[in-house]
Amino acid sequence: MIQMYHVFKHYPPNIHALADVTLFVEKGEFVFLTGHSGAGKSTLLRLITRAEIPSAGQILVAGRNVLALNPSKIPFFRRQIGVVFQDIKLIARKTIFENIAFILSVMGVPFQEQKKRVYQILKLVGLHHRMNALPHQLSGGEQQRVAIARALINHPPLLIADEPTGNLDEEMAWDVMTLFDKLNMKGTTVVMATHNRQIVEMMKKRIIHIEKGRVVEDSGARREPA
Amino acid sequence: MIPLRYFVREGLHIVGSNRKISFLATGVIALALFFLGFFFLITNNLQTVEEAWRRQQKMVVYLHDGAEGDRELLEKVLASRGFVRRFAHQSAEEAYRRFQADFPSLGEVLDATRDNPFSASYELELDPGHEEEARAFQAQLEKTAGVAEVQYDTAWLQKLNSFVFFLRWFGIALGVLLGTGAIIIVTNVVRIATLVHRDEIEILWLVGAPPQYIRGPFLLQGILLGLGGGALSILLLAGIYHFFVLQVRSNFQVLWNFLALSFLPIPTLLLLMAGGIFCGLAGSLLFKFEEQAD
Ligand SMILES: Nc1ncnc2c1ncn2[C@@H]1O[C@H](COP(=O)(O)OP(=O)(O)OP(=O)(O)O)[C@@H](O)[C@H]1O
Ligand SMILES: [Mg+2]
Repeated sequence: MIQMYHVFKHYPPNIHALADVTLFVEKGEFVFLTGHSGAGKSTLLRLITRAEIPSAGQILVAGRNVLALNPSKIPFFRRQIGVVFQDIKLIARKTIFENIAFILSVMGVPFQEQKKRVYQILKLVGLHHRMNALPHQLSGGEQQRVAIARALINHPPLLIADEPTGNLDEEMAWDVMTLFDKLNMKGTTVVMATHNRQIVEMMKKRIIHIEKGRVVEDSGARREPA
Repeated sequence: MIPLRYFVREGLHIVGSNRKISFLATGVIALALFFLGFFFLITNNLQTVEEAWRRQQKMVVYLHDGAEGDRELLEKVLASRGFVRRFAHQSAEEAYRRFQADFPSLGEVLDATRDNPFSASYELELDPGHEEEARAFQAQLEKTAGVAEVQYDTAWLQKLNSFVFFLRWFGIALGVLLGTGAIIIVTNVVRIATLVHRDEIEILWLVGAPPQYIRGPFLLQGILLGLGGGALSILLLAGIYHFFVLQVRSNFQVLWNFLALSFLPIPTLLLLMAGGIFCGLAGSLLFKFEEQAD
């Protein structure tokens, strides 16, 4: 699903966020990305979704060369990936419903169908009663769950989640992990960056550990994609 | 599929979210269209006047005092020309009375002099389109016995014609110049709007919104500004026109009867609206959108 070959990312003036990262994630895998703050987890995830471009190296996602993507294909490419952003990124002046339904309306889903599907996905994260609220009327944890719902609305084959449990209490965090696990069992590839040791230990999934932009440990590394 | 409803809603939001700037852009577009329309208004009406005068061209033949004896021969000459539709004699006394009726206040001034300054005359109505022949006829009449002077002036009609032509092109040039300025301003207004909404735009890119979803609302913003500018310019023109009409009608009755003023016709108004939309859309299109996320 994801193949990275000798990927570097520099930021001016001389920040080396990622250095020589090579890794492969199979279709259907569940991968935790761990590392200290500033290690480069978010940067790596942003490269996968082509939110940013690497300074060097090659990245393939779902068989497509991310760098060679025709700009007109990028929106479609991004809609194939569900992304939970570390900083949530909800549109402040739009309701929870509108924030999530937007992606469906882009895809031409009729309004009635949008309503049904948004309701269902919000029910999954326990927020179906807040459809018409604005993001600022929700707690941090609730906003995070909306962001998760938005990432899932489209049934994407790949889920990229950057610290999705950061604002959630323990119980809620486990609910989300259970949800991700279920999705994973149904075939969704999950890549999740987190600081939460307990979750990482309990879930017993593959762990990629990053330090100062380098992969220093990979519990399920393979040399080449199968 | 073009999500028009979405564009309109978002476009309205963008226009409404920075009212001062939206008003500025609308005002500049309106100004450009106002000048364009203003010159069209003036030239249209001047043209109506010109056409009316061309249709009722007159030649006036003034007689010497005491030229009664020459009238018979003169009338034969007048009747001999096909393009003279009809002619009528007016005695000096009639001319005097007519002047008094037209300008009662000035009549008193004349009264004081007691001497009738008017001459007897023939007024000739001519068919339009015979200006060359009419000028030759004028020269002939001036040599005819009993004739003091022949008034036949087409040079000023020619002048009016070129003046109207000049005014029209001047108005168009001014409109184009100001329109270009308006387009540049709209471009910058759109730039500001994208800056104000850059967080939203970034989110839209990141969740995979197609470019038209991101671009569309800002094109709508341009169109709305243009529509506003067009409407505002028409309101301004209508206001000024009606004020002018009111002034003329109440203060210069004679002039009013004679002018037969009219406002801009619907096609011209539609053209102004289209001009507004053009300025807004062109201004928005000129702003180069780049994906902010890269
Ligand atoms: N846009 C940027 N410009 C400059 N430096 C950046 C930028 N984005 C990230 N960095 C730097 O790159 C490094 C990696 O950042 P990144 O956000 O990937 O860390 P992280 O592992 O996600 O940290 P956290 O756990 O705190 O989220 C950091 O040193 C950060 O300061
Ligand atoms: Mg991060």
